[in-house]
Amino acid sequence: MSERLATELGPQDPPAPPRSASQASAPGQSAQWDGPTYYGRPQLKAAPFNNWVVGGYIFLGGLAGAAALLGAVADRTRGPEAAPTVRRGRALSMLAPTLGAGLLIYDLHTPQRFYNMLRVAKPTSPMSIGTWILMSFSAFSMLGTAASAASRWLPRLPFLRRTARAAQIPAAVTGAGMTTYTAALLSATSTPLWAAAPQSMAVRFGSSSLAAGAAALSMGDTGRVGRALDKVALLALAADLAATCVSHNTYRKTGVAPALEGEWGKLEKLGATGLGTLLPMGLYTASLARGRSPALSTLAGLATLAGSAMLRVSIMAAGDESANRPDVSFRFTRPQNLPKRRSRWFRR
Amino acid sequence: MATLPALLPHPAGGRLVPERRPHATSRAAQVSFLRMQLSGPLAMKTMEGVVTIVQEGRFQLTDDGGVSHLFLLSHDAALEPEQLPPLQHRQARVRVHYTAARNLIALVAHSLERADMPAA
Amino acid sequence: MDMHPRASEEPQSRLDKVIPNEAELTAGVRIEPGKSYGFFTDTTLCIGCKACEVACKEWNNLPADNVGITGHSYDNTGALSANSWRHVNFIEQAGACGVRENAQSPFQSGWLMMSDVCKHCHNAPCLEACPTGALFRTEFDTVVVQQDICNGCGYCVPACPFGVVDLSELDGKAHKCTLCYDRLKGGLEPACAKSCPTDSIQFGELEELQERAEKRVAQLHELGAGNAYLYGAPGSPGATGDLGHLNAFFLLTERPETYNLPTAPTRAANRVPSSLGAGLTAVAGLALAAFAIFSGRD
Repeated sequence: MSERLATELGPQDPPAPPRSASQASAPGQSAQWDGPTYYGRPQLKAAPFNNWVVGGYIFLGGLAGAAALLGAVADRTRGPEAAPTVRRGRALSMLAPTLGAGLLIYDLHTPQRFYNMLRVAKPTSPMSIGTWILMSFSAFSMLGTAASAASRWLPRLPFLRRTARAAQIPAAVTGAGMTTYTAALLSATSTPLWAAAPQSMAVRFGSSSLAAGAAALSMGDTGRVGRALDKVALLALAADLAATCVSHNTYRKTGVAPALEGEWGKLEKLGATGLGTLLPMGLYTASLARGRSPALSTLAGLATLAGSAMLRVSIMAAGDESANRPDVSFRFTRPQNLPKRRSRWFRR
Repeated sequence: MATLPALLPHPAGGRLVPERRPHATSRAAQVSFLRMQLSGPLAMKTMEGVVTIVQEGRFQLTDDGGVSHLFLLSHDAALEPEQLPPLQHRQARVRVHYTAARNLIALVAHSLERADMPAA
Repeated sequence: MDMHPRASEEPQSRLDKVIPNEAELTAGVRIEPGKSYGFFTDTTLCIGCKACEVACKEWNNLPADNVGITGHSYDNTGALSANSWRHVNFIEQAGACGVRENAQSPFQSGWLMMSDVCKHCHNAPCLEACPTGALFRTEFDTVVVQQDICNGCGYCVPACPFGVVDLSELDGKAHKCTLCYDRLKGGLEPACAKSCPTDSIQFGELEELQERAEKRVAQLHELGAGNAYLYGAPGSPGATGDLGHLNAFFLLTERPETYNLPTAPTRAANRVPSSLGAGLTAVAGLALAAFAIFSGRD
């Protein structure tokens, strides 16, 4: 009777429609998978992470790394003029070894075995790479903070000041790793939303962390260093915006855009992009045009921090949704989405 | 084939298809909830018996009535999985402090201690 | 039926004695460390009895999930999970408007049954993702989670492109099929393969299984079942994206999505270098720009 074979019709229950009313992500394209699913059941398993805890760690870790990096840059270029900024940078970099590591251990399901993370260093696992980045960043930032604090109490021992300065560079380098390795961690999974755009997500996470770091360092700063920090924040936010456009385009092309049609997708658009990127860009521009208004800069800083945190949490939650939706995961694992070039790395 | 109506009663109450397992926040709440339970189906109980089968972190305890029960080692148990095989080799008699698990035909062991044979 | 000469040496089964190299009698394969072992699951032979699910739970002492009735044909297990390492899929294929077609392809009456299991991939994403080294490759070329090392980070769970490995909230560790590692060490074939009454699940050395599977596909094509194909053999759907091949591969008769399998899964670790590279380049660029901004005059 009908043209279609019985073999092309799936089980009785079609997949559940997305919660948002809009069904299409682009005109002429159906957001839904028109092939079979297995009773609408998920084909993948979503990550068992608590999105607030792990998203919070990604935000704090990125903020700490960026603060260490920018603190080092400020110290090397502006010297004593930037001393309060550098001090603030060291304090912020301590967030990673304390609160950040605490959040990670809390999210383990057998937390008493947290030290097993240090058994291996596996280049194929960003979680293993990240463990060592966190360890080395924590070591250098704690060394730098301790040496710098000690040098204030014991000014007659110059080696303390020199140690604090020397520790800045490795802290900055590992801090750069802290800002962006978490995107590689999310991409090296089979969750469609995270796996679809690994490079642009890494740029987003890195530039969002740098913007957050610059924003946190510049808030309350009344000197000339504050102007420079505001410019850095503006530049980082612009990079973030560019990466956001690229990743959303990639999501549409690979077919995972329906995962962003729900509540978390809306939060990502309004919270992360709107409140967290566009609004502060406007506020920083306005502030710099008036020769830096501290009030506007502080407002922009708060918005940047909120947006950076919202970005991580909403991407993680939307990713979980993409894993739980077979229509999205089957669209992602179509043969046309296979990488064109064979990877040179990890040849077996 | 028509799907069964959603009104079909489910043993655990109301759900036809099991939900996704709870998130970590509700797991933390679950653990503290268990600690507070002094009575009810999720309260902490004790059982004595012989450890007869061990697989990874799971073991089978045969109680004095000859009934076998399946135990999982809790994530915060005072025992590691590698301590179970020696108990099974000796067919050791132990006392297990456990709680029941929802939607699972198994018990969750929290701690274990040696038990002497009951008086004849 | 002819009895294997070694079977006649064992007049009765005693609990404390195991037939040495029992897999030779039951599966025709002598299990030796250093060789690759896996499963070939021929879904055209599956009768949906779920003996594999039961045998797996019995041998591995896994608890029964009290999941109730799903209403999805005879599938009340739902999916692979921390406590279900074998899961039989049932797909009843109706024609349009709920009326079955009169003309159907041979060897499949429109009711598909397939026993799903961990694929023990050659380039296993779960193993590559594990940050503690709990997941490792055994001497039988299978992938196993060491329960005394796993700290429940759960990173293997989203890494698996087939949605196999799962974290148990109760015992806080990740679990999946071990291909009966303890049985293999004792010379016995896995419990599911031993209990399968139709030999739909065949256990053996991987190369031999792949040859056998290709012969079976050719035989089915000759008999008119033109839609039979291998999933997970080298070069087939399922073994795409640098996963290599799947040690547990299947013979299917419909597209993979029907069985809740992805057509073109990818090896997740291949995304690491490009992602790290792009991120670090961007951050380095922004740091250099910051250097320039800080050095410049206001």
